[in-house]
Amino acid sequence: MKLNPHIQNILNNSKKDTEWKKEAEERKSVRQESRKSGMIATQLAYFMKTNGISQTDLGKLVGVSPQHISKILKGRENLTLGTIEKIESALKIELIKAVDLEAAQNHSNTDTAFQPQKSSSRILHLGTGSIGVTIEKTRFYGGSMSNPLTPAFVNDSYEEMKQKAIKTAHERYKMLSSPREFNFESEECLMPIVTARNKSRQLKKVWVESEGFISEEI
Amino acid sequence: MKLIDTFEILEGVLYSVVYDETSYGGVNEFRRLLNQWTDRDYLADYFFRNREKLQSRFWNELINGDPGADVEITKAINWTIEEASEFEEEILKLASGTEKGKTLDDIFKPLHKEIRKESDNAEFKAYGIYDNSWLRFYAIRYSENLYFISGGGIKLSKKMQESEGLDLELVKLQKVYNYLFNDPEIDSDLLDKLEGEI
Repeated sequence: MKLNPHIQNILNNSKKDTEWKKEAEERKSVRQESRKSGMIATQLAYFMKTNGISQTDLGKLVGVSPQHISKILKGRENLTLGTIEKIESALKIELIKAVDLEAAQNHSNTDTAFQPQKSSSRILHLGTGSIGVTIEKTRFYGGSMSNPLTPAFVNDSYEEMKQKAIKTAHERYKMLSSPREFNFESEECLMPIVTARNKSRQLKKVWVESEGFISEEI
Repeated sequence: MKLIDTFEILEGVLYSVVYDETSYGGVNEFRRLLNQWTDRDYLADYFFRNREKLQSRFWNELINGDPGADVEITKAINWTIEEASEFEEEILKLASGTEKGKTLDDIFKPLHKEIRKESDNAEFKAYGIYDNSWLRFYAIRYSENLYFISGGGIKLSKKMQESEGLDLELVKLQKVYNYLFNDPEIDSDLLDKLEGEI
């Protein structure tokens, strides 16, 4: 398409924004490395606001520069376990919990163990000790678990169990009047998906990886 | 308020402006918004200031599935970051040419009614990122797949004027519209530079 000279001049004279690209790549790399770190950073930001702690204050307490704290809060650097421990110790708070898998497997009630992070998610109680989430977008990045009670699949049987569970989940799902009642003894489920370009709310298979607790589309 | 510069985000496709009064050290509007939408410190401040609008029946129902269940600030922050990040990665893919056949028209979601209610000018457009997202870019779409971003923000209310900072966005849209189509009310240095090229 031929543009008029005025518009063409604007295009020709615009500076290239190389800084944005650099920042965006940094943020992408940090997210790919760890999404949980970002969620912990959000909890930290909330704590700082509600307790009037500045980035400089925290930097001094923890022994890192305010710039370092700023980069963490801006999602351009991940929190390491070491830094988390230093923050926990300095602020006398608990940001993460070590899980006791043995104790967890001895309990069956998981209702309070999982906090969904995505706005469109709802908790699904999947019966005996496992939990999943519904998603209304194709991309969902799971949530934090303080007490993962889901049993890990044995590698060889994983696919087989997954397919079997999907089939049963589908049958169960069709019998329900409301997806929110969905209850199933497994880690797979089917639910309506809405994306920016697909509003059909078609049923899609979604499953939850027990170890990393990251749901994904199949 | 004057428009003092333009930046190319994606060559021939996506441009963003800089204003003298909201330049934030020369940062263009596109970069400013993505920096703010991924900054937990900024977002925590924003959602604390706008807690009442965030915890409205509309957002409570949409996010927590219950109009009476207040949306947590940490959840709002994570949601904003996730939406902004997904969008940013889509733009990065376009920039690197890894998404063949995809254009900005596929990524920006036009929200025609929103602006038409506020302005007579049909060229003014708001672009959301995903369904039910509160993130907004305001832009002039000059032609197919050529956008000039004038600004944006977080829209928690039905009307632009009721959301913090968005009342200024209509003025900014008008500035960019004038720059492209009418009487450019821009910085004289930038105008000299442009006229010198004609």
